[in-house]
Amino acid sequence: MPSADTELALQADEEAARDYLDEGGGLLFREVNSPGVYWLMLRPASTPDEKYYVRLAWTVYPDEPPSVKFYDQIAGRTDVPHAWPNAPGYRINSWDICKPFTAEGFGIHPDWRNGPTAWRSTGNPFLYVVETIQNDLNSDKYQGRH
Amino acid sequence: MDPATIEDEQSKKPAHVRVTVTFPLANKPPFHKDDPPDTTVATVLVAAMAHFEVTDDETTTYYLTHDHEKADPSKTVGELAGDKHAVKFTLAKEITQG
Repeated sequence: MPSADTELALQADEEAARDYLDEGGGLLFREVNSPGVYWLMLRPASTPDEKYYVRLAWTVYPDEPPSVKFYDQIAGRTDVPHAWPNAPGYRINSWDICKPFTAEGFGIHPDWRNGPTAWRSTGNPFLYVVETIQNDLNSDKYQGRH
Repeated sequence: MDPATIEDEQSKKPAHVRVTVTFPLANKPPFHKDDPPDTTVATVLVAAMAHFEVTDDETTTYYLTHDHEKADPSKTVGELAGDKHAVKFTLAKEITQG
């Protein structure tokens, strides 16, 4: 369970992430009974009628990256291909995002903890993670839904 | 259009566009600058990266987003600002490794 410090730090930063998502037609929910867990709803810029659901689970904030998983609906299933975007690093063979902003990515690549890929805890990492996922969905490398 | 009207239209054009760049991981305030309208996004990117003390490397590339989408480096701040005379970007980083 996240510490009280983590919960306080998340509460301080979540508003900026919520505002960012609101501007793009997305949403952010805090899971009341699971401290550190948030649900995002995001829309790709190229197909704004589409919705993706993402579960963020923070354990130590802001010093560690969150677990990031796509789901077919809020509190639904993650192990279904159509829940996941087809984009570099978003993998349906292991249901994870192998990029240096997720706990899963750093778990696979311990070497990412140093150098330019190292996790940065400055500023608002919550907003950074949300913006990074949205930017990946808006990127020209995004090829639709699996 | 008579010369007086042309002069009047030109006098309404602002000499500068208020440019703001935020970076979520920054431990310093946003980048602010009043730039001529013909300043390109690419020029703003260079100045913002210097402000936030970040650089591209073999795994990381920085770019600017505007209204949640990647900003075309060749566009000018005047084009993006329109009648608002101000434009806000976010500095984003793309990791090419994964």
